[in-house]
Amino acid sequence: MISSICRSAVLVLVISAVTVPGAERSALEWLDVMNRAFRTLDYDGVFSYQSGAGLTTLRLVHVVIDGIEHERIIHLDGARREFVRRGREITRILQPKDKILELEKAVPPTPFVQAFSSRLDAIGDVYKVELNGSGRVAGRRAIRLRIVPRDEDRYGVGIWLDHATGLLLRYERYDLQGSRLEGFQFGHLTIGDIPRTAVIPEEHAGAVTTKWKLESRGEFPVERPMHWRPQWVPRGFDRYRSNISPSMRDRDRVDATIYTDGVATFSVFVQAMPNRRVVNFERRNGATAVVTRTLQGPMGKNQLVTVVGEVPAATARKIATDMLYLR
Amino acid sequence: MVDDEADEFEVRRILGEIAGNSELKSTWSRYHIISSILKREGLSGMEELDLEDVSYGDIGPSTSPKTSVNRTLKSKWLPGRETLVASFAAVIVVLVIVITMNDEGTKQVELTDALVAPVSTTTEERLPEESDIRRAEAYLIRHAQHVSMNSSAAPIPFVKVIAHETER
Repeated sequence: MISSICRSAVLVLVISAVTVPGAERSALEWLDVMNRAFRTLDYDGVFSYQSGAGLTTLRLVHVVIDGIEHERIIHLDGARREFVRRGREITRILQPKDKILELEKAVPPTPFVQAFSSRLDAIGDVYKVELNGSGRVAGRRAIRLRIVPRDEDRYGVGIWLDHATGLLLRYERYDLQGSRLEGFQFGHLTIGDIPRTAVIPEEHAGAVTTKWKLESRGEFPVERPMHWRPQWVPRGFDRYRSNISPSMRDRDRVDATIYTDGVATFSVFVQAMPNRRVVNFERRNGATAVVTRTLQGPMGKNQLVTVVGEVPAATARKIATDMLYLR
Repeated sequence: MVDDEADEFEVRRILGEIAGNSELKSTWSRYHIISSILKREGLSGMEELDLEDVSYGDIGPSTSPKTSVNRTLKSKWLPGRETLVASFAAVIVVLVIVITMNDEGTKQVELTDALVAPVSTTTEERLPEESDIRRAEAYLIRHAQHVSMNSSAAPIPFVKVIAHETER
């Protein structure tokens, strides 16, 4: 009798394991589904974003129209801010006295060049990606994944994906001690049947509208030489130049490079200092570290190196301090 | 020597040379005036900067008795590593460095020592000014915007820009 119950129980467990949809895909396959879901599905939702001590609410709308992605992100708290993406074009809508407008004057303008796309091929080399059970987010059944770094130069990530579509429902980034640094979570989400009008921004009198286009690398047949480069970056981070136009040299004088390991990113900016001031300091905002160091190049001129990204401060510090100048 | 990197023997030799060469002496003084201005110490006490008094005065236990002038010089012009603009010359001797570049594909670029120039790191710590903090925040936004424009339909980097503190 007991053995019969045991056999039945084992059978039930085996059937359950086979029929759990989450078990049908590997963790990496789920990540791939997530990437495609972001680009191809129509959805409209409200989510909260927490970074350090800050918490804010936003609305995200994504609709594919004639094969072109249209996306709109609206800030629902504080200052009215909005980003609208249409293919490779971005429109930013701010109020006249927005802090961002003032901040932008602090650094030379640089174009946004297509640098990389999501890459998952080598993620397993630097992270352990594993399924981590299931859950429920925004009233939807979710598959949980855990992305654990294999070294101390990057943070860990936990994600919850919609079981039916693979869409990202919740995301958290943890430091090396397991404390949460930042998080994102839908509170309400509608997938499918989103009207096209939902991605059209509202008109606001006096709003400051800025448009950019993500420039193709093919538009710069002759790339501007870059002189500054980190001597060391954590393994698995690939380098992509983010400003390459020769014509930019005189007007901005910023060497900008962006790095990604498929999960985390950081940028390295090198800018000539207008005077011989020395600026060495560090800040952290949630998961984002900013480290600046002053270096003296071979011509005796001070250069300001700024490393900013979702990496531990110690890693950013090491990158900023150990730079090479290439003639 | 200004960086406090020279050993005792080198300091003795250099001071000896400076003391006997008026051109070197004026260069020495000029460097320290510039250094003083850069460090916002002003020019007070410059009259005490007499290299005749420096000679071997404060550079080792076997030297002549220390004078107050010597002490001034030591504190003003030869400060310890913790207070000085402690630049260290990172003479990079790189015979061959292979750096992996991934500008749309992987290229292997070989860098020889002829291509790599020396870089100094200035390790002086100072409280950042308002403009330094603004610049750092601006780069943070630039980074987030660039990542978001390259990550198709991934909202999180955009959110970092939008959610940037709104108070002025």
